[in-house]
Amino acid sequence: MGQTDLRLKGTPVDTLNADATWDRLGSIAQLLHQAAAQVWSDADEAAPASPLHDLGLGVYLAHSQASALLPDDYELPDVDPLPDLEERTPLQLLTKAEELTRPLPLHQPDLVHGSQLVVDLCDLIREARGLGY
Amino acid sequence: MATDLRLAYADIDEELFDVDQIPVTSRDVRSVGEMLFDVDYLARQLLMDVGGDDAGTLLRSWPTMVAAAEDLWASLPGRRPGADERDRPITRLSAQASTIESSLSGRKAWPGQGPTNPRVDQMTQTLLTAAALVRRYGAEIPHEQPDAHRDLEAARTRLMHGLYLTAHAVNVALHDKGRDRVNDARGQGRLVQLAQHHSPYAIAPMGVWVDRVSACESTARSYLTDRFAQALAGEAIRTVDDPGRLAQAMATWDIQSHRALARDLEPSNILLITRTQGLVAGASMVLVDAATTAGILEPSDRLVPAIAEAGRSWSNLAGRWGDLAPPGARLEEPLARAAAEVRAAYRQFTHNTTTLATPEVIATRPGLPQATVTTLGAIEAGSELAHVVAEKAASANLTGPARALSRRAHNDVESGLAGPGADGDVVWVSPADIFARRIVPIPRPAREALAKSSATVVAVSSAAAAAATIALANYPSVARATERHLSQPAVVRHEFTGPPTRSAPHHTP
Repeated sequence: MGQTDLRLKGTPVDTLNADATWDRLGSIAQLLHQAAAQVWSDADEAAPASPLHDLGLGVYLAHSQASALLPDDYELPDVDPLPDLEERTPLQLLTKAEELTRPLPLHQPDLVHGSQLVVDLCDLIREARGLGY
Repeated sequence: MATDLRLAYADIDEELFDVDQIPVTSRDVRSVGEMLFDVDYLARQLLMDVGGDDAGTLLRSWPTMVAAAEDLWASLPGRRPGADERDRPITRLSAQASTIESSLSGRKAWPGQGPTNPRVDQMTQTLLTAAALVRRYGAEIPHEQPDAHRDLEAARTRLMHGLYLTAHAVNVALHDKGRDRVNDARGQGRLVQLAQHHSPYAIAPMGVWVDRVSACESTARSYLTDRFAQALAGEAIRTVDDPGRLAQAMATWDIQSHRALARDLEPSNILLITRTQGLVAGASMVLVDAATTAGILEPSDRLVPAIAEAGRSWSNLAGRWGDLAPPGARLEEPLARAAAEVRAAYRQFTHNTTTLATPEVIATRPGLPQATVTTLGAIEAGSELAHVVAEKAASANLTGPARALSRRAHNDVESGLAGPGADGDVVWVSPADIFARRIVPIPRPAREALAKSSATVVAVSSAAAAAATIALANYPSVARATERHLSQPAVVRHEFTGPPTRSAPHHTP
């Protein structure tokens, strides 16, 4: 079919098998968990009315979205697939999470809420930038 | 493309390996799938960067992009004859965008005539190129075969996904633009002409555009969440401009947090509850400050400090429950949805896009008196919730990641929050468990400090509840202020708040 091939050539969009999809989502969940922890850590150093509390909750809810897309019996790998997690800034963590969503097969029934996760991640990245991250 | 006689890379392999020959070709060699991926990428970049200054260009470009998307959709093989349920979202989107285009045509008022948005134009061009490719070669696609059928469904999803992201970006830009216009007008001491319907986003003419683009966004989202049939059947999605939204959100939160706590709850959910309570305290401080500025509440020396102390103690406790919550832990669906709605409802009042609005700005927002009563009620209720959460600290089977608990236990001993071990310096979590990233039982010092922190939340929440009760005892003055607030002319009451927020969008059942 050449150019009309609806699948991506040489990239893993529709060639992601189930395990690769879940591992990718697991990594996204780990990144967002760490991002929420770091934003909350900064928020706890700031005033109780700081907008960072709101951002932290938003990131944690996005983490729960990613986790909810995983199969019930999925367990995150014991080994840390994302080294230097604690050295990254919340914005770097959010950006990496967004990048990892790009090849997800959003048309699959299991990922029916994947588009909303992407929108929320982009919103959170914009918000994190606005708060000086 | 059919008349493009330039050489493609594949036609000039030999030159490719000749170091003196750099073949010049501008031919687009992307597949349709890659083009849709590029549209997705551009839409994401747009959404991350968008601001109020983009609103006009985006609005002008949006109808053309939808038309290109419909063209590509129509070109995909396997279209069934007659009206097809699957095609209704794109048909509806196209109709919505067409009316926007006709409203824009010849218009002199904002946004008027002017440039379009380069990013959206690039997406539009990509969609048109993809449609031309599919029309040229689409007959070769065996669409009745399962693999091809799946690929076509994937293409439709990715196409609608790009439209959803772009519509949301247009919506964000419109909200930002409206807020900027209100702020500019205020800065120049001018009154702002507002739309007639009750909405915090309802400045003329932006409120109308927000409504229309929101309809487009909703249509695209409905397709992606497989809820289009329900949407057509009239399923209600709670609107952002509902004045009772915060009261409803807090009522739902009260129910869902108690239901969750009545069960054997995972630490990840208790973390969510404690962090949400911290958010309630912080947002309440902001609303109380604004309500005092607006004359709705009488100034109090006790109220804000008491709520601030409650917020700090909830956050401290949340940090401890955070140690017990591993990455990837699932949240109770109704609880997460309720927390998301609490966050969205407060942001309607407290935020200007990504930052907190000033008390003077919040003081002008419609519904502030009711919101003040609601949030003080939430502070009152927080005292009782603190007792229920504190009971969870006594659970026998608390476990968490070894590394976080080891660090916490040592810190608690060092800071005197927990007693030291009998033999002095104790290794509370074995290095082997830390190295192997095991889940371990909570060490004694961390448990002790968790109990103390819980008791502190109970005490300070009780003090905050008492201060809130006194403030609510002056409710008649709140009611009078509400009447005054509502009787003010619309031109000074309405205000823009933050970006569009959806009603717990990511936990749609």
